Amino acid sequence: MVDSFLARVLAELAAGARLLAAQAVLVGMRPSVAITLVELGLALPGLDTARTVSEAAARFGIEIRDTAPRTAARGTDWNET
Amino acid sequence: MSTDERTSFRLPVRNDADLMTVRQRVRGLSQEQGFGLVQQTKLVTAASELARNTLIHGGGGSVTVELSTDGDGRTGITLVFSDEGPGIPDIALALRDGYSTAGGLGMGLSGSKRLVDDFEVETTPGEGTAVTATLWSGPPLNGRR
Ligand SMILES: Nc1ncnc2c1ncn2[C@@H]1O[C@H](COP(=O)(O)OP(=O)(O)OP(=O)(O)O)[C@@H](O)[C@H]1O
Ligand SMILES: [Mg+2]
Repeated sequence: MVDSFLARVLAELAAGARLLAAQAVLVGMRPSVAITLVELGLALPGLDTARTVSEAAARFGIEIRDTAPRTAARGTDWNET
Repeated sequence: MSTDERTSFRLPVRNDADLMTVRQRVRGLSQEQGFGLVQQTKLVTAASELARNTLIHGGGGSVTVELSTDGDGRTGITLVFSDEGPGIPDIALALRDGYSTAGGLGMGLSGSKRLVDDFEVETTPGEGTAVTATLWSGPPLNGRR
């Protein structure tokens, strides 16, 4: 679950990373969370997202070859709050 | 609409740990009642926003969680957040996207309203605020959601 409070924390983390000349990519957000965020009205500006770690790495020109499915990095439907 | 007395409970909203408990109990109940994952997430997110408002703006209070059923066999989960804080002088203004008196994003109240099926704010300046939010299980009956 991501509410406006956590959205702000995430945005601040990404801004902090930029200060270090690093880029932050949020990986593995579950579809249900993304849908809820949009309806809540939070577009997470300044936060780059990707579905998987490989997808995020590809943006930096790095290829990760998957030998096994990495469910943990793909935002599985476990019961967090 | 009938109320199921067995699943009605009240939780305190007085500190950060309480916020976590509220999220967990709402998540658990919506799971038990067979709400889909998107529905669960919407209700828990609305609960988190409203509970934080109760804590931050209302100075603390409580939430009552209640189950109900309608004639179409749907189950509704109703959350009533109440506090005895300063109240909201202008509800329409408070419900505007981006309006915050606390330097916040101002998306909590307006966003929560979009996440649930029924939403109501009752407030008396100087006496307190009660925000009622209900989400129904199953497919929408009126094209919303
Ligand atoms: N329980 C409450 N008691 C008094 N005022 C409230 C209450 N809930 C909301 N408000 C008022 O409504 C405004 C809008 O609330 P909203 O949740 O949308 O924004 P916020 O809490 O300021 O920021 P955030 O986006 O972080 O939630 C608040 O700034 C506050 O002035
Ligand atoms: Mg708020």
